[in-house]
Amino acid sequence: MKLQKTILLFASIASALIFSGCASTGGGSYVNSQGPDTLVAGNQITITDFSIASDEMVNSLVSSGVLDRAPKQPAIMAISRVINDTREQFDTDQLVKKIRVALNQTGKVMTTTTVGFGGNAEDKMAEAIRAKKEYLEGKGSVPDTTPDFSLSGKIIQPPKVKDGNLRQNSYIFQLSLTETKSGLAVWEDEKTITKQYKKSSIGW
Amino acid sequence: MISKSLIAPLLLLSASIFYTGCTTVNSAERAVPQALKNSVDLTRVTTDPSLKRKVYVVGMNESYVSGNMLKVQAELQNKTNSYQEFYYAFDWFDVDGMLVSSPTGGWRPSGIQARELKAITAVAPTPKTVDFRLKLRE
Repeated sequence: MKLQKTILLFASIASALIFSGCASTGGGSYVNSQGPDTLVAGNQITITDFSIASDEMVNSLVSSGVLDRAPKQPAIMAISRVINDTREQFDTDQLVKKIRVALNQTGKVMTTTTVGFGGNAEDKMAEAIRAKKEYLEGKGSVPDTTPDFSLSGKIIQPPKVKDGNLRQNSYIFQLSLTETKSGLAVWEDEKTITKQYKKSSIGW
Repeated sequence: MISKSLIAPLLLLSASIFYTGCTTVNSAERAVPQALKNSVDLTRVTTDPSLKRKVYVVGMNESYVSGNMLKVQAELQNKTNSYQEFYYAFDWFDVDGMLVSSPTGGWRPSGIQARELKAITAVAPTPKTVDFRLKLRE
């Protein structure tokens, strides 16, 4: 009798586990990419870090007023080289594209996709069509899209700092906006994001 | 009745809590500020009274940068004797009251030292933005 009760109890628990598993979403859930519930991950760069850096850079650039001094309005900006000089592998477009879109939204800047670093146009088809139109109809047939500014920069990761189990990891975002006519950096800024995390004392 | 052997550790513990909790911020500024703030009248919606007691919005002011871009600044005060971490976000609205999204928007982590006054600023994503909402959470 006691054995039967035990079997019944185990069967109930097992079925409860099985059926609760049917409603499971497979262990995954969506979080807002711009929300506070994204993972912080102290030992690596995250989308939140790129978001914070790009937001602060755009605020700084717009507040500086240099965009209003361009001969063309909206000003035309080319994307030069933004170097990932960290120990991590990521696409710097995670920073640059956010900045481009945000600047475009302000109505003060348009980014050219036919002029790129090292002569490599981002949109080769648009560059070819433009060149063909210019060849067939003359130089005056295409608008002057010579960039007023070029955006360049670097992302640096200083050596991690250790204090017992505590680790400190920083990323330094440096950007410069150069006036192409004069070759002068008319705006520069640097933002540092620092995160601390605890490393488990067990393991390697 | 607390035994005598426990009195010393309890005193030490309470003293350590007292002293670690008192790392507050001293500050100094011009007695008569030269800046003329364009203050904004605020309507507050408090759903977390605990947070309001810790990180309080003292006031907000606004200005325009680059000709037509709305810039707002919120002055926050930590009303406690300990460091507080919090998140903040700005929502932006156009003249029709519609939300204006931005690729660089979203919640930002921040921290404020004990008793510190801290300013956070943000620039609207478009020139058409006329209103804003500051959100705070723990």
